[in-house]
Amino acid sequence: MRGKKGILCLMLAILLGVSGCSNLMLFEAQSTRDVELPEISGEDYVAPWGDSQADYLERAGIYYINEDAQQLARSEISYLLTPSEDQMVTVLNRLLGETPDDVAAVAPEGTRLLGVEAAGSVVTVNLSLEARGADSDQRILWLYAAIANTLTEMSNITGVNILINGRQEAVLSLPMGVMAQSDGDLTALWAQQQADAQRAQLSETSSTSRTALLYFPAMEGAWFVAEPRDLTFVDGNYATALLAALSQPAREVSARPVLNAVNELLSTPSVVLTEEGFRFLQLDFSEQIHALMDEAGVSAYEFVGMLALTMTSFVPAIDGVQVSVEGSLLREVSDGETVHSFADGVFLRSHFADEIGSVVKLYFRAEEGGLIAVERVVSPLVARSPRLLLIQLMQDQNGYASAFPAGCNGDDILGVRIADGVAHVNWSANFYRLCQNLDYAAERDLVYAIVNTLTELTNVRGVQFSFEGRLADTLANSIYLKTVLLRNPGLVQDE
Amino acid sequence: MLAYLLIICVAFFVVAVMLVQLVGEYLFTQRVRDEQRITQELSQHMAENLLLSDAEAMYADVVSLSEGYESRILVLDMHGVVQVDSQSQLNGQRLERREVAEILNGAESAYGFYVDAQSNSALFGNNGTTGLYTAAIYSSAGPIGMLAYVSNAQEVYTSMREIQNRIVIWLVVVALCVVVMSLFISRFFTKPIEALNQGILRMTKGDFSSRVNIRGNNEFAQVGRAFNMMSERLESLDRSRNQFVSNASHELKTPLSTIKILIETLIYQDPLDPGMTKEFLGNINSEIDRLNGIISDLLSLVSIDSGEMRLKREKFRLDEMVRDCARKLAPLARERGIELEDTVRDAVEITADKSKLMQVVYNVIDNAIKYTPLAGRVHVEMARAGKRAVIRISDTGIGIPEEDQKHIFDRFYRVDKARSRETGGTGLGLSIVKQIVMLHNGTISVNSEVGKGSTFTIELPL
Repeated sequence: MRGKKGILCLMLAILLGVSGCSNLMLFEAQSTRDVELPEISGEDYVAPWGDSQADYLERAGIYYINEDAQQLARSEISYLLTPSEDQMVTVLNRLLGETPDDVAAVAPEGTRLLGVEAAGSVVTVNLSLEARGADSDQRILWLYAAIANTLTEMSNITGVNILINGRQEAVLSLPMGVMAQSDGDLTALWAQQQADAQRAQLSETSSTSRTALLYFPAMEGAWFVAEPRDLTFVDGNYATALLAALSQPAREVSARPVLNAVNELLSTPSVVLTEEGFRFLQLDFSEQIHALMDEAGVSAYEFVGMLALTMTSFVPAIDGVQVSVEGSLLREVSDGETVHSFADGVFLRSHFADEIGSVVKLYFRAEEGGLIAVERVVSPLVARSPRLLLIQLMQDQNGYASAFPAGCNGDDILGVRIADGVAHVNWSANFYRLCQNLDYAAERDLVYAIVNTLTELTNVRGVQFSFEGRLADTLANSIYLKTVLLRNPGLVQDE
Repeated sequence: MLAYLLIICVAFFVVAVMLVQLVGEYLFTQRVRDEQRITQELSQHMAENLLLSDAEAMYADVVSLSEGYESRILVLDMHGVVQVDSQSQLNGQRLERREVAEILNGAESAYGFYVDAQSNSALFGNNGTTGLYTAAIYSSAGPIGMLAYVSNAQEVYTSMREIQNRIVIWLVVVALCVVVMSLFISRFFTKPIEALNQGILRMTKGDFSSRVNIRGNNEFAQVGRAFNMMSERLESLDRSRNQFVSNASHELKTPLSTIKILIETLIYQDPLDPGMTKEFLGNINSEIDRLNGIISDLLSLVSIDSGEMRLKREKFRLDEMVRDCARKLAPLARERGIELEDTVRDAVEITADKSKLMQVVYNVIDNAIKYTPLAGRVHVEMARAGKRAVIRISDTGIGIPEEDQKHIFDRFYRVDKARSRETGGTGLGLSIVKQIVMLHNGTISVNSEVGKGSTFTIELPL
């Protein structure tokens, strides 16, 4: 009996030990040994030598007038975009061109596109004089609405300012200002405009709210940058209100501090009609304006430029501005280096249109690692050129460190080709060698500074790296480069 | 008891461990299914934006979704390179995992788990046990990438461990309660058994005075009471036996002593005259007769006690046998100056051992004659009473004290020893009478009053 009890106790003890010592195992753990993934040979890869952009097919929505003229009708189009073509220009030309059968044309016949200015998220569209041939203010409103809805469907466009032959054409005597995307109900739009106009007519102290595009001298370089701002106008004193708004610093763009010009006005701005039929806004300032310009670091050229661009963008039916100081018309203004002469002291929009800069986002290395997005004002050419954007990246700028190793320059970019939404960048062996000592963070930041910057271009969604025409596994053993890399938004730090 | 407690505890523990394992497996399997489903849904959700290579939209999605699911979500291309990472740490890196390789090799989905120290990597962080789920992202043209869903499975283990720990705690608590209850219950059950056991052990050592004290009305109390009754009976029998042996020894020793004295006198004394010698020899003869009688009676009792005595039943007339006994004892009665009468009311036929019953009737009448003084009367009466025959022997003798009446059927019991010796009694007669009557399923009783006489009543079934 004692023997049986002993055996029983021994069995129970073993069972207890096995049960108690067993860990709760619910699955079979995987091995941590890395698994080999299929290799990418890359032998068929054709790297770019020199710069090129492939034609690419794009899709866009174009808004026409519905047959019942109460709604905007959207029509989807596909178009082949060549590298030399601007997407917005192409789309607007399609809108102004042949109209499909089931919809009505948005613009009077013969209306052409004179130009498109992109200022950040706001686009200024300049139509030819034929656009004024619309039957009524209502049709002009429809034209504006169609263009605004068409362009705001594109990425990064939030507002459209429409000029006709460089002038803001009013609707029912009210400027439209920057238009955002609407729901396409033309009847409602017209009713709203009528109500605003009626209110303005009935009361001298009525106020009108609009979004105006204000132009400021950019922080760096000799560019103008535009910033949309919601303003309230009383009694139709658009110029004074715009001047007052220009006295407030820009909030969304990097611009130089501006001067409080509105306090220096000697008289209420007025519009003069010339014999040729031109209408100019006259602004007379006190002598103090020069001191203010010096204090703000704004040249006279920049001052008159921002006035011309701002006023002609919003004040209805003016072709330009005339600026005088103590009654003396300014005909020559200096930009600090060069003295520019203007006939009759008239400053037209067209005089400064080419100096409207494009705001681009460049990605620099943040102090604590990662990237920081810096908006810079550059020329439209630079804004559209991947090579020039990359060169911008190679230089430290205003306290922001470039992610590129020292010694890189534009010669290290052997070629750039944009095709099918991918920017193929062929780098030199020198560049590859300079990058070999980068640690993981530096390599990552460099690669994604390039990728994030280039993918800011509307036709680029990813970047493929090559070196001397060949694909490489990595740059410095961390980031895999034999595939197209997409943007890395998570790497961007808040400033 | 310790062994049984150990068995209970171990069984409970084994069941608990198995239960935890089963529950854990079920919960885990459910979780795996849920997370596979989530991965599939997320992969479908990402398809459109991946096709458009819209990294901003995908990133916003994975950040939002990873917060909602409390997990990490990555989107990889068809080379296994991370393009979108909710934690923005692995972008541009190739995820060389089995689960990724399976998708690249054409599988629709895959999953695997990594534990503790293994999982301490850039992908899993320090989350302990981690699950990696992958699912292919499809466009109309085929797979365009894959979604990786990293889930912290440690909480399942944590939950299971908590359950396990609670079970262990409850196990300990229950075991303690079982121990305490077992002690009480076993005490409740074993105490009376132990008491009985001790009583029996004492009894085996000869101590018949032991009694057990078991209270209540349950079975143990009943056994205890039965034991006490048995002890009492055994003690009584032991006392009787001892007394019997003592009495028997004394009875046997007394005539032997007398014989020895007489013989030694004859041997060592100067020759006695023949008359004296004859007297001595006559006394010796009487003592020998007495010894014979005692031994014969003892043997009869032994025979009755051991069950060896067999009744020779025959049919005879009981009334005639009673008359016969009276007739045989009439001379003795006349000699003592006692009037002996017999009254037989009914002719009764009985099937019984005639000689034994004759012995019974004879002894009782003989006793009545012996204990009735001169000019007394002995009356023998017999009648039928239903299905029984009643024989009643009454006398006008000296009577029996009340305190002796219940003992007169005991062996060697004598009310007056001196008188019994004079009358030649062995003290066994009434014992034998009673035993014979009881063998016939009858009863015998006495009713007596000191100085007035006694009446013995014998009832026999017909």
